Amino acid sequence: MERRVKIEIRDIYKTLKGQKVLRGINLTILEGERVAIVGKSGTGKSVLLKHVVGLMKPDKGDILVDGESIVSAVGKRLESIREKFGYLFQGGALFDSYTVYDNVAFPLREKKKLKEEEIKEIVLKNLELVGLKGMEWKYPAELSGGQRKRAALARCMVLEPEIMLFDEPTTGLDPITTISIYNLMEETYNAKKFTEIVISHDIPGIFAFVDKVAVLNEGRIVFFGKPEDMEKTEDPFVKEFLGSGLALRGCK
Amino acid sequence: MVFVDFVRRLGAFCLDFVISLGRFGLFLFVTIFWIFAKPIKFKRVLRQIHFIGYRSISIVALTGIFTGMVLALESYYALNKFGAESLLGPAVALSMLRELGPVISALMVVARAGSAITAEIGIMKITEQIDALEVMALNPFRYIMVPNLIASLVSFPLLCSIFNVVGIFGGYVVSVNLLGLSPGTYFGDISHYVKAEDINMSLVKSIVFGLLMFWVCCYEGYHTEFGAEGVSRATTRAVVIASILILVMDYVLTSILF
Repeated sequence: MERRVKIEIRDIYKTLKGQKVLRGINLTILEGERVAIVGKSGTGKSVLLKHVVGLMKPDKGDILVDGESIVSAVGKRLESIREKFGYLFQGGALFDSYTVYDNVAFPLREKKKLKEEEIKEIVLKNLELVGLKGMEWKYPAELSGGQRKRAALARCMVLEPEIMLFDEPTTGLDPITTISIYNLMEETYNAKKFTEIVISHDIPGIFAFVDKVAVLNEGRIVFFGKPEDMEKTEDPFVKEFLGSGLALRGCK
Repeated sequence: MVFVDFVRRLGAFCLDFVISLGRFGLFLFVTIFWIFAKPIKFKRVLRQIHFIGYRSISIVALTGIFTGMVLALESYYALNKFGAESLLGPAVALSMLRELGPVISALMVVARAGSAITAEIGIMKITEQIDALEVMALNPFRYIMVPNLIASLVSFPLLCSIFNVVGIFGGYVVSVNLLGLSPGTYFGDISHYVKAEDINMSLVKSIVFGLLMFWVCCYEGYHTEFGAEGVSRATTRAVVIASILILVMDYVLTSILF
């Protein structure tokens, strides 16, 4: 069965403080597809992700989510498009002054008209799913980096998004926690079947968990295809990038 | 070549200034829009009133009593030269109500709560908590700015009133217990000289100062950049700009309401 287009990025350009960060990005992501965006630090991966969810507006170009432009959307239309997204920020972006429980309950309290008992049931179920049972009354400052990301993932999951965006979900984590986060992403994907975009530096670790890879270099996509096709490409940057990733793995 | 470079830099500076001014104005406009656009988050408003108002009472009362006490001593020194010591009560009360109450209480609250608000919003900004709100399709102006604006507008006149009352009482303690004035003389003349307009002036000034504190401190927090150093810079700038604007606006309001 042919899958429909979920996200279409059309020729977007962005200049920040005089520096051309994105120079004509084109990308089509199908429903239920998992795409990793990789590239050197500072090449605009996070900027691209922020454009997808409408946190930044491109200087030129358009981004369509289910055929609707998020670039030109404002007010309720923008809200309704954003409700399709879950966004796992690099640092988790948990609210410091709230406990883990209140952080996860926050979107439910604000977006759904549910009774407190129903909220409690959903929150505890999601915290159990991410392995944070018993930690609900801790504050974000009392959690480790991995636990913070798990709590943030639980917060994203409670509204059951159609599209999940992961901004470097395993950066700064030890190998065991990294694997547990990947397994968690895999489990939640299998349970919800959302469309997924992951920004990662973990080459080739991330390849086992995605359908396609987009390589970003100097504001352009230089490769977009299946992970196994990466080795066949003639692009010198992709070769070098893949080579260094594999070499790093070899050293480990 | 040097001249062209100078003109270019001047132009860039002016352009930056105008853009910042526009953003500053738009910030207040959007916040006011969100007061009416959707129901207000009362729990968050109460939380901010507790933070800005309730938790500032002790510092405002402490500065108020000492301001009143020193004002009584200084005024007695001046009035004594003209044999007008009986006017000490009205002198203290009018100075407190028309000038010192709104200004000093506002400066104290800017230093205590304004700096904290800038730092809190700034940290929320750099740790992407504000972005997280937006991604959840929740407007940060409704959740953060509106409660701060309402809390400032409610708390400032109340804190100013506490400052005035405590300050006048401080003046009473010094006048009666130290300078030997009779209680009747101190309070009797206050009711004779102090008019409703003086109290109104105090309240109007403190409401405007509350608006200024919200405007500057929340704006600076919302536009924080570059990590911990950015937060520290934004907090310093917020306190300095808000304090200066309060003193400038004090003169403007006094000229208008005189």
